[in-house]
Amino acid sequence: MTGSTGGPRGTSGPRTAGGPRGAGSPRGAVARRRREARGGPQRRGDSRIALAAVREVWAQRSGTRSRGDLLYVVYLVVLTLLLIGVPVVRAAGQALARPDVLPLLLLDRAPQASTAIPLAAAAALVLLGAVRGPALLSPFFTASLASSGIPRRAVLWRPFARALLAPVLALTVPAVLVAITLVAVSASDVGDLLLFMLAAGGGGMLLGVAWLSGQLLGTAARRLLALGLAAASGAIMLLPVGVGQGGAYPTGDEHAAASAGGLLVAGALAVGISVPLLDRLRGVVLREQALRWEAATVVASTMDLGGTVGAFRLPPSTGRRLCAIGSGPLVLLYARRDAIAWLRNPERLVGGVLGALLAAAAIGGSSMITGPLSWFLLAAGTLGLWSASGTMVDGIRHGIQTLGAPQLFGQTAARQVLLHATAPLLLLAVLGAVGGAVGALVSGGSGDASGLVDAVLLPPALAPVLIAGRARDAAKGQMPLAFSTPMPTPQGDISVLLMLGWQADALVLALLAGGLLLTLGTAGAAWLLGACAVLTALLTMMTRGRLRALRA
Amino acid sequence: MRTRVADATGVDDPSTGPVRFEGVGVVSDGNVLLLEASGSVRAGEVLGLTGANGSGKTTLLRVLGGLLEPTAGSVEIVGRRPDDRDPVFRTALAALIGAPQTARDLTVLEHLQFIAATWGTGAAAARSRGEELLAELRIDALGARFPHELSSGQSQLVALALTLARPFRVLLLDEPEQRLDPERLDLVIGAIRARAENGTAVVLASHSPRLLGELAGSRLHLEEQR
Repeated sequence: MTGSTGGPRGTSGPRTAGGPRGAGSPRGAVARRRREARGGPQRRGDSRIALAAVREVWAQRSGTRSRGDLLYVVYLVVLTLLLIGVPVVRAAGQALARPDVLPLLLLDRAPQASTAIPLAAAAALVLLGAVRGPALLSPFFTASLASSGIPRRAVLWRPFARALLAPVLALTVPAVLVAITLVAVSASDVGDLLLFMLAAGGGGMLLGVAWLSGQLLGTAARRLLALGLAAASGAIMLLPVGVGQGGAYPTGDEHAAASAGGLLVAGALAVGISVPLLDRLRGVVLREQALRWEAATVVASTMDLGGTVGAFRLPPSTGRRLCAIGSGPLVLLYARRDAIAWLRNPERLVGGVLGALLAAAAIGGSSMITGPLSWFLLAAGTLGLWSASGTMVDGIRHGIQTLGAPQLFGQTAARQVLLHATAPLLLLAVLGAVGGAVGALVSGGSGDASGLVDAVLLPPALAPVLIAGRARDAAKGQMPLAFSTPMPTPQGDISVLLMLGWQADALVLALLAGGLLLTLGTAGAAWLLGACAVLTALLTMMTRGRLRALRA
Repeated sequence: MRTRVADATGVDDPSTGPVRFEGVGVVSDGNVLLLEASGSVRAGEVLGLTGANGSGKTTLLRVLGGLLEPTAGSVEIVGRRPDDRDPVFRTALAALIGAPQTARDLTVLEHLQFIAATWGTGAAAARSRGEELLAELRIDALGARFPHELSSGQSQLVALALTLARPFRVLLLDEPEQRLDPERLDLVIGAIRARAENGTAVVLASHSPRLLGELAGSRLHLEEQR
């Protein structure tokens, strides 16, 4: 091979193509780079050729999926959706057509809520885009393809399109579920169902674009956009009628077709405009996100979910000048240090606070209603509060990580954990009480004073249990090797159940605690607080045991 | 909850000093990590551990630091058996063995402040003590940085500063010269010498002839385990 083959590909011959005016000078080089960045027709042709060559090389690997394999996967997905997905959603919708669920779906503000929720999700996705955007390749492809002369849109549109599926499905499936429930009691018809589904599809595409915006924008613009979307989410509830997805809510709004069509067109247009914007993604963002994502997936493949979440914790981004260390007793010293640490990652803090408020509202609302929706709200709220608490317990994690290392701090790891628990416990309890009250009021339980007290007490009663559970989870250590030993049975290898059980024990315990507190809460506040104390003590003892085991 | 720092005076053997180890050996699953090491360090003395990679220098430091249980022999630090549950032992001993666990959301100066505050120093005094430490190692400019913003050499100096930020009578250091240029090595030598002159018993493992020549009043050479 000789060097002449590089000639026609554009980069070896610009000295002559650049004309007589300083082609070899720095200015000439800049002009050349600009021309190359603009990419004329020949450049696009080159990128197509280059991509085709890459695909050919990639397809020659051993074990590559053939076109037939891919078609088979598509066939399987379509069949599964038709034969299992549709009947399951239909049956679920019909099962939800109950007297304790229908009034909520038929609330006056239900259409507004069906727009407010996606808008709040869009704000969260904008923030998520800074950590893991939708247009992402593996580190290898980021270094080879996305860093090459090939326009980024040519290599990133596929992962972007794949990622769009997640928000589209996340909006469409619940929309279909709501509509089917209303159709089952003749409060809606199939035409409304289809319109609401299309509107949700369009909304999902817009969510995907919001996610990409988070990946594209700088810190200030991203925060501003997220704030704007969150504010819009709140403001939409004040409107007299539903707009956007809410305009197509399946209760027979006369503008449903216009809303659905408008949202679908807006979604498609936004996605179309986003594709050229993929060229604007910065290499450093793509590289960092790709490395972080790969690290997280590698850790996840070893069943270390705590480590996986840890891989997504961004380093502090602001508040360097805030005074984290103050005077006073140790409790105050640790609490202040933790609180300042939260402020140094404002996006994570805002996400955690909003998540905790929403989750507490769901938990509070669950105590005001009955039936499957109550349990669904409790489960979703408990999981949400558990996730939100994760943004507040870095201090606890750090305390446990000091185990096994020479002692730097004046307190043992166990005492550090205890001291680090104060600030997150207070914050979570306060957010829980506020969110619980909001949830109770929204779910229409304001008439019953004792019910309102239960709704306000339940989330803060869960707070110490979850913080103790977080400490227990942080002190988990490695999964015992025995759990990954194959356990052959006539039904197959069941060791995976053990692994899943070991991995999900903290979540399961949190859910059980939520269920227990909800059940006992109906017997009175004393029972609720008593159960909270017992559960917290139990989890604290388990944490202590794990710390001892780790030290040993 | 109030800060209560244990009395770290301990009971030293006046004939041997605050560090004493006799016939210390570590065998793990049939692998010999350390074979029969003995020695003692008086207050103000620096003991240099030398030997090839794998000879057991870090293992001996981990045993002295209470991070590893010896399978043979005995160890006493300020007259106590190394055990991190013992507050007297904890208060007496500081060690840099591997990178210290930093918090991702505290600046370097805040780390130093926080460490000193957890040992009962007031916030203002902890801050000035932290600034002094940074100045001593000439890393004042790094005070406002977060740990992820440090180079590897800077991280080594910060790790040493973190170790020195807490009270101690015995100081264990594992290759403190790692990743340092000659000028920075001088600073580290000066910082360790100052602690020794203040009565600290120092045990350090090193491959640096210069560091050992400048500091080690006595040496213990460990043979490579095969």
